[in-house]
Amino acid sequence: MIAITPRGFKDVLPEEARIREKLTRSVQDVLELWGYAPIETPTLEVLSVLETASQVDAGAFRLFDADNKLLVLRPDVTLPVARIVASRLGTADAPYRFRYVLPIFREQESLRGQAREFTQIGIEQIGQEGPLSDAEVITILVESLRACGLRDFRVAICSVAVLRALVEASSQAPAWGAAVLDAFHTSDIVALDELVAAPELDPRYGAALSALIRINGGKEAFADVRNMVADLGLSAALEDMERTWELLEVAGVSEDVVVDFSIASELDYYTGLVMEAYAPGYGKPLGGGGRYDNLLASFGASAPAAGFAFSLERVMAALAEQNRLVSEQVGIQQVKGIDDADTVRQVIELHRAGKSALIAARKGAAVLPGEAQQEDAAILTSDAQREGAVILPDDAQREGGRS
Amino acid sequence: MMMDKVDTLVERDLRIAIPKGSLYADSIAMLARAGLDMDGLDDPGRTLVWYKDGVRYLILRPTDIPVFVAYGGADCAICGKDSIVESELDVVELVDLGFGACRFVVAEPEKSDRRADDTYDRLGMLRVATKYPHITKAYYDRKGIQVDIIKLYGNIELAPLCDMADRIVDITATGTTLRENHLRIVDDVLSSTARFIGNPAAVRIDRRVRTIASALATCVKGQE
Repeated sequence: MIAITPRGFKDVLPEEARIREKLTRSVQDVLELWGYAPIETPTLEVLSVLETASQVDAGAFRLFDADNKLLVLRPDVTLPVARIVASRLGTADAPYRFRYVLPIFREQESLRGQAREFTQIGIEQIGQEGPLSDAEVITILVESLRACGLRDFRVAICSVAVLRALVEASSQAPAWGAAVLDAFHTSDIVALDELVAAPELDPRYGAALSALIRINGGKEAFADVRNMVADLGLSAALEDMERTWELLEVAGVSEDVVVDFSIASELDYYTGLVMEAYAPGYGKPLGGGGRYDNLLASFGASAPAAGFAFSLERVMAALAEQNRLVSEQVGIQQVKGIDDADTVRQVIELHRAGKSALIAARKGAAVLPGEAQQEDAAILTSDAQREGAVILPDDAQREGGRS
Repeated sequence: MMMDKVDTLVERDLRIAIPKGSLYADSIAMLARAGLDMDGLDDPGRTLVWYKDGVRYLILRPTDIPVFVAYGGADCAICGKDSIVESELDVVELVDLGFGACRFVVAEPEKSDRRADDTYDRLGMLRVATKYPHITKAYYDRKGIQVDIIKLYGNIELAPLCDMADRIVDITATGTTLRENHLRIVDDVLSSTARFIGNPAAVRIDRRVRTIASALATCVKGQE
């Protein structure tokens, strides 16, 4: 038998694991500064429970347990956290701020080259709304991606409230409105142009929708949207978004954010802000999120909520694309005392001094440089040569990182 | 057309995929009209990649184009709507280029011992041969007709002539091939033209993709 893993599942060996740990810690530090507390949800959930809130993606892994309950392997973290808040915490003590780093499982078609397990880093902010809350979530996403060492990424944002207001104000048949939202959902500009050419539609709405899906820019983009919707009496929908943008400027993150309504997606789910993060040279979104004010109500606890999640694996792939994926150098002393007790004593002593030290495996004076290499070692030579300790010079010390 | 440098973004060659085959000549002509330097691409021979002015042109099989675009191998491309729908992949459709018009049709033998409708009534199942299983399945699901789909890679017309299938779903521009093989069209599935498409990330962060899209849109408008 060939000892394989299932398609789309992989092992993580030390070099990669160290990078994952370091990136995760950098992001956790950012989230901690913003007052987000760690939370964990179980790997398995009851499918029917999650489905009370939202259609669980057809791509979720399903299985039956011994009680014949249909279970699902954590398809995302937002739904389980909403369940926790509704069933265990209640909304009386809100707001809540949660952060997580958890594996997610998604079925994928064969031969598409896609992972079926990946790690999501994300936040859930429950019980707050308005521009200040939106700006906080966007800012934290930008700061998290910066903390990973990514450069030149963009967080695209839009508001489905603006889009919905425009569709409703056009007073067309519901089927037409649904088709327009679907064109936004699938980023199909060609289909949208066909829909807005409908003869019974007031051409001002057609022009506004057609321009909306093409907007891509910073502050100047708001002027474009404002000009379009002001005539139609829809300025209010835009004001919140403009206030959010001003706060992003204050936070110093607006240069990494663009307004782009073509990202509007999952319109049954998002109620306001929608965001998606992209990095140059990497063809898939790193992650995304937005505002889902109706989600908790479907679990019986009404509260506004917003959040984001991004894939650790995709961020690493984007970093590799930018040659910024750098392994840590770990300085380690190898210790071999005159006898075993002496070795242990010296190792402990070094540890107490805050220095990494490992017990050299071989007896005798020489320890193979190979061992040093294995641990990515750069030997600390300063307080070396103490009696009984064998400190090896390391010719395998690496210059800088590797990509 | 000069490609704008993208503010602070890491500048990389823009990658544009062009389909081999029936859409090729029109694609080159259209991109040239939009201001890109396509000299030498008229007859690329066996070239797979052609470099010019910061743009890398990838010459690909039409069905592979949505895969390259969705996974970021190409930033943007010209591609038939048929290939986009069949791939079921996430790409951004930017411009309807108007050329390469063809339609998806359902066809069956002109003369046959048993009509496909009778077969369905008696056996409760139709066998449909096609190169496009996803489009075919979506069409029959909409109609509420249960079908067994047989995926083939070429000469679909042969399947009903050998009684391997009751009907076929295939693309046709003029209907000539169908007529020559004594098949008649019984329904339209969808119509297709060439589209300019973009990778979801590239459309949002690489201004060059949008610049080309609006130049192409202007060309298309000018032709109308």
